[in-house]
Amino acid sequence: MIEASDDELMGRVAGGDAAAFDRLAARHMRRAVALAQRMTGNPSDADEIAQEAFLRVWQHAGRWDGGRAAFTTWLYRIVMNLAIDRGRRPGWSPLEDAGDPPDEQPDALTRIAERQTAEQVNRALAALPDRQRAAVVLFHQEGLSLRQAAEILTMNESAFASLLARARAALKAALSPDPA
Amino acid sequence: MTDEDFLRHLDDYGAAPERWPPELRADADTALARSPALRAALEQARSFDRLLTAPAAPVEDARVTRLLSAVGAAARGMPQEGVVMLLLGRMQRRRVAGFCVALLALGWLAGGWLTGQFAGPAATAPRGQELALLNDEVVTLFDGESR
Repeated sequence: MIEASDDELMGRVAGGDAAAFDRLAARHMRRAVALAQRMTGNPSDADEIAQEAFLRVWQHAGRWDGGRAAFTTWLYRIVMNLAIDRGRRPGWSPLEDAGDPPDEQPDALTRIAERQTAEQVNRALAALPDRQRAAVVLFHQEGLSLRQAAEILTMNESAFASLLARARAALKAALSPDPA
Repeated sequence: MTDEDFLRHLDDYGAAPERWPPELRADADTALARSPALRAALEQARSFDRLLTAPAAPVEDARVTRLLSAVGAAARGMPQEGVVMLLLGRMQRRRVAGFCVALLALGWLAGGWLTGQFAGPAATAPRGQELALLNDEVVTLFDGESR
């Protein structure tokens, strides 16, 4: 049996088909949660953001225009906006760092060093302005192209490239072993 | 592309020239083929990029199942956006404001036109009758007694 495409499912969701919504959510929930967690560094915030994002998909399904953007672009845009909004709330702070290093090294010292480096990177990422952090997450961590990442952040490709360059420069300075 | 250009782009976009803006890729390949120093710089940049591409924290199946169940139930209790909001939601705010002003103006004009239509016979009444209404007889219209 041929799986319905995202576009077909979205067309049905716009018509109030809850079963189509369930299938669409099942297809994309894991990645939406992972993306939110990379942005917030906090699993419980990530869960709330992913749920809220899918409820917005349900509520505003009629607004989505498949001719203008892929469904995933629209979904990731909602997730990123919710994550950025959450980060701007007064008193907000990530409870846990996003992602542990893979636990494959035989040497405990190596594992500790890897973990420390990962924590340092997470701290440097968390200190970036929201959109710069979003640029690094989308391009380097999610592996999206410059064009896809720019679409998600609703900016043109050259503006995104410049945002990414600023983010990389800030991270390089923060992670430099001998900061000036 | 000069070596300086290559190094600048390497700083800006990272150590995967195949992911740089399309217009730079061919020149980047040429520069790399020409210069061992650039290849060394690329290798060094790869170690920095590896720091940024840490693996995502795993999202367990049970967690996904719980979220799907919660979001499915919540969606079934939540109405979808109405047709009017869908139409207005696609528009920019300025356009929505303009659209509302246009609707008001249209309503005002239509009201004026309809009033003119229904009030037509009175408007064409003889001048004398109109003057009489403005005098004593007006009172009888309200309290039923002539004064």
